[in-house]
Amino acid sequence: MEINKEIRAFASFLNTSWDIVVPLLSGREYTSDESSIGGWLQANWEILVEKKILKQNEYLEIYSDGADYNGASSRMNDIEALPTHNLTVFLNDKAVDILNNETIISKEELQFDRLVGFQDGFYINQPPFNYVLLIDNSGIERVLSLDQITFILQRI
Amino acid sequence: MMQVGVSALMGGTFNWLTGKVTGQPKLPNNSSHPNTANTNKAGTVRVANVEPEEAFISADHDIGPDNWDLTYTPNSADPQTYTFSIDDEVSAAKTSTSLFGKEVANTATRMGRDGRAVEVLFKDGSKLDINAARVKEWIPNPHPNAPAGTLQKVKFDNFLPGSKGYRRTPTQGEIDFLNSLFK
Repeated sequence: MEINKEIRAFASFLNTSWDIVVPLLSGREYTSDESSIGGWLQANWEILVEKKILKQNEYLEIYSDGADYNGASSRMNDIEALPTHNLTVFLNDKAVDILNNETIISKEELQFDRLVGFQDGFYINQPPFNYVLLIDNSGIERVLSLDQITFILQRI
Repeated sequence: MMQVGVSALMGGTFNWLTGKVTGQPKLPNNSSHPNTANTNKAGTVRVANVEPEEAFISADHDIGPDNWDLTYTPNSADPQTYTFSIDDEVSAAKTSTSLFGKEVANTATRMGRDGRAVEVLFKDGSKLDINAARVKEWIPNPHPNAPAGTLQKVKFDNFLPGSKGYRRTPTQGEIDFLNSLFK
């Protein structure tokens, strides 16, 4: 099942809200700014994407490294739940990894990590979130444009 | 998480027991397994995949101070193997500039939602964040375009379920270290 529309909507949501929300999430005594932002991302991933595309009692793999808010869990809601689905990607012809300047073969298995911006040859956690950070089988980070990717929902 | 008793180690019989490991366990300084090389160095933590019998059958050499803490975690992918870590005394780590074998640049404690927590920055640029529920780790991102100080999340073999590999249960040595910072 393709879920391009939902992922692109999530990217638009991040682009629109980032500059408003991040100052509110920063400077908390009990956690780092990074964890605070990670919790907000995970919460919205669950509400906006997971609950849109999956049925009740089905759960999507965490966004990036997830939330750091509920002990050993990486989730914000249903904290005992384990993922039942993950995202895999199908690459368009001649998709280019702009991080490593390499053309990627579509058969290569790539794990979705998160949406990213891209600046000065490296990815950043800032808008515009027009790119996707993927991890290949060797653990190498790859960055591709959203336009070059079709997202597929896959049962684990 | 499973732990093994010292008496079982010294007797050469491999029985899984519960509880903290104390005393002077014998470790295989002559093991042929590549990942067990250099485990007989005080003040270090080494994590490796080994088969239990291989790790201890030829043990004949006392190493390190008292209160070594050995932690075993079964590998989900291969139940015949375990990941093991070796922690030396926390007090020694705390009073020196090294922790778990790496030089510490800075530690920052906080009271988080899960209670006591510490972020440890090492001089090699890596970072460890410990609380009672989980450990997260970062290393310097090796990509040539990465700005200085950019970190990359570490994926663990013995990770917490649902964490995508980015979290693991803290070892007893890490918990002891964390608690020692709040005394």
